[in-house]
Amino acid sequence: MSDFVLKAGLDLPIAGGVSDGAVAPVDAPAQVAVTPPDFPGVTVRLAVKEGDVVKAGQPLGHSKLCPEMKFVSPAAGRVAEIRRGHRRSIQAIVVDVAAGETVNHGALSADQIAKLGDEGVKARLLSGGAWPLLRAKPMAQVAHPEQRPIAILVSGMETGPNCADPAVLLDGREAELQAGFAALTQLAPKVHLTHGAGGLPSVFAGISGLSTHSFSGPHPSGDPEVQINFVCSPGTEQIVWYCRAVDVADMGALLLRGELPRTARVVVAGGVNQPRYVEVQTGAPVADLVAAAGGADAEAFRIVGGSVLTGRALEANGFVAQGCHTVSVVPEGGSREFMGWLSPGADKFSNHRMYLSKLFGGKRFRLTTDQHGGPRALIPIGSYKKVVPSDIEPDYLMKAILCEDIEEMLGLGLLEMSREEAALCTVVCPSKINYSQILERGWRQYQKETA
Amino acid sequence: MKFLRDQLDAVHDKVKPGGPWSKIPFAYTLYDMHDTILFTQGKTTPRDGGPHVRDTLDSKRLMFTVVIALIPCILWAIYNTGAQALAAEGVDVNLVSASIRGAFHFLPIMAVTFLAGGFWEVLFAHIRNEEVSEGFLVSGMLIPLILPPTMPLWQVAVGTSFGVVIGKEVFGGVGMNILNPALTTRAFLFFTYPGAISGDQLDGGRRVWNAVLAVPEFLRGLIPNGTTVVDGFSGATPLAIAADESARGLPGGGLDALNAFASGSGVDYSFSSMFWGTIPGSMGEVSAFAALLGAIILVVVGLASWRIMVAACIGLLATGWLLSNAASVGGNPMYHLPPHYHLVMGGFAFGAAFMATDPVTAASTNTGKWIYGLLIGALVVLVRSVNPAYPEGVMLAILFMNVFAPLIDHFVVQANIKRRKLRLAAASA
Repeated sequence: MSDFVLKAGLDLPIAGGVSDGAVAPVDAPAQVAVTPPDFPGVTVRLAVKEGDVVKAGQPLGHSKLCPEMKFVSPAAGRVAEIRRGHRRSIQAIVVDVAAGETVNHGALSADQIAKLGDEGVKARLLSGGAWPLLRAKPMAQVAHPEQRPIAILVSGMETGPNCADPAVLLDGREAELQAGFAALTQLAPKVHLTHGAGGLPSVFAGISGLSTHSFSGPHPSGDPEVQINFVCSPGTEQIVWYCRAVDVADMGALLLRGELPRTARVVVAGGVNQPRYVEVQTGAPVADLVAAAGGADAEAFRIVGGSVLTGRALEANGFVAQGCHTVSVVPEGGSREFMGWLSPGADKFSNHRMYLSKLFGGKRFRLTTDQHGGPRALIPIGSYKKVVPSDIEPDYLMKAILCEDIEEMLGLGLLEMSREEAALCTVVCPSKINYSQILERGWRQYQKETA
Repeated sequence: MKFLRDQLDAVHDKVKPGGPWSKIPFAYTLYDMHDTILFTQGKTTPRDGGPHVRDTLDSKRLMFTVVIALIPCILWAIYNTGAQALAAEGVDVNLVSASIRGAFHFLPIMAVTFLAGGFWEVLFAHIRNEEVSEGFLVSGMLIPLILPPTMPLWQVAVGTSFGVVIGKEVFGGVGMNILNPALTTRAFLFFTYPGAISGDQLDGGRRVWNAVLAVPEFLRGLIPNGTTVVDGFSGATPLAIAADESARGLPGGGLDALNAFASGSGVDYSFSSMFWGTIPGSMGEVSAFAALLGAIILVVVGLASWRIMVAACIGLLATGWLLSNAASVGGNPMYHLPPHYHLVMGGFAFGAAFMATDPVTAASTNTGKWIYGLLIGALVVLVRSVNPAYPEGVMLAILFMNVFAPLIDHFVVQANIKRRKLRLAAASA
């Protein structure tokens, strides 16, 4: 039990947040899909082909490296389409929803769950389709069941811009959380649960075997990947698995009832007319969600599965991924403003004190996808350090990655830097350097050299 | 604005690759430069991978903000240069006449700096197929401010070219340079044309500060009374007086020499006049007050490191205090100077505010900034006092520490690496 107060970070003052936790139901969609690109580090092999009739919970595909890791159909129906992208990579396995059976992976009582053991928990999560919710640090990829993590960290809080509030996502799911944590504690020697400054939320009461920590401060203090740096340092040999509390509830639901939850609560926020929480069939088309939130309020907009920081841009006919509880709509920028760099900027967002808007705290901005300038060489005015709470020198880590000096980048914290921190660096960089892409490049090189 | 936008778009169609003007050298680079100055760029964030939004700040705004912080120094440079020139000629000084006169000295040097530097910037941007960087906006403002008004314009052009090409472009341009380009320019001119920097060449080597001669021939006719060449005023910078051999015998050393000079010539080299800057000297450096205003702006907007500024002052005062305690009658006169005099003399205030804090060439770790600043302050006093050949040490101190900044940062970064290793060892134990 420890309290961590993070000073560095940035709460992106983005408009379009949801103030009340009321959840609106959305009609059952005509199609659902499994979206492999949302599971980093996994190459999905198909288990079905177009035209196959599938049951809900039936595997549509599995991991190439670990065939036991299944990706199951969120609903019953017929496989309508295998969407492929660059180099025939699978973008989505789309199912036309129809009435049909459900595969039950075996319901267990709480006592049975507690006695499953390491292998038993793994087997059930893998075959039931809940495993891909578990991620591994370093490198933010789907956990590999053969890894020996030193700990599992579950974040019970959220600080991301306009992201779904765990209080709404977890409401009424105490039993599932209990079951999920009972399973996780059998996978690693230690399970950490983090919560905000207000104390442990009551929904976690009665769960034993966890060490709890409180985190406070601006984003990314609620991000599990960042919290790991403070709770248990990761290194070249040390792997820490992590997920969010709502993922634990989903795992618990699978173990208790033998099937994953049919619906998920998702917040649709940002540039929509009525930002709100919706309860929707998992894997539903993202267009349904945007429509349920009153539609986008701009002519051109970008739909992002996740937060505007680390989410994935979705096509208009894209689908919400399993485990994704935030959909952000961002108006497209790109209008050319006359002498924009001279404007006093009362209505412009900046984390630097060079615009008038910095004088009015608490103001929220309608952020667009405008990049606000072209790429330049790094001018180190300390922008990065202000948003990176971990003990990392971000400028030097970036330079080491660009120099492809693997020893140096490992020494400087290549495996500690998180996607969320890199995204914040990218946001604030006055030279418009894409730190996120550079970090991914460093991770790829590390993987290549250790493979 | 639609009309202007349409015109630019029409030009874009001509200069873009394959367009009718695409063969004209630099056409696209120059178009792009003007286009992005007039209108925001309109680029959007990449769709593949986040983040999808960005901070509004870009390097245009960043560099422009530094120029805003320089405005007090620029205005004072223009007024004071004119005021000193008019006073030298025995003409009554008022705000308007002094400013007009000062503009005749300052603006040609600024124009030549921007022309010479801008040429190299566009050339290198074109060769590298990059957008023209805004970095020269700041260097181009700094260079005229650290030169004396007597600098011949051709030397300004040569110096600027050296500073930009050797000081910056050969390393890869703005952000990649090791040395501050403006200081590189000054160092080049200082060692190549020492007479012009101190005024020795003019008026038979009598160290005359006479700005009239510096105005280009073709502009002289425009100056009211501009053809009157006066040789009644001869002066030296306070640092030169305080360091002069003749001060050696005085019990108070350099301070006595300053006071004696003031009572002899009527030129006030008191602490307050040096602080406010009512003295001759390099155009933008004379007023510590104007530099202080600029420093406050830079710190408030978060562009320059207050750590470097504070550390430089501490280093300067501490070293000055040590030396003044070591001073003996008949010894080095500079030792006798009260430490706080160093703050307002020469280019220290300007250098500490605008040059030492250049984020590209300064140390960039927080611990490194303290070390870097302290050493700059200490070196300034050491060069001024211990080395009689160079009465002014700010330029050399900052350039010297520019070279060492990566080394300082290296040790700080190694400490970070070491901490990480210890953390990991503790975690796996």
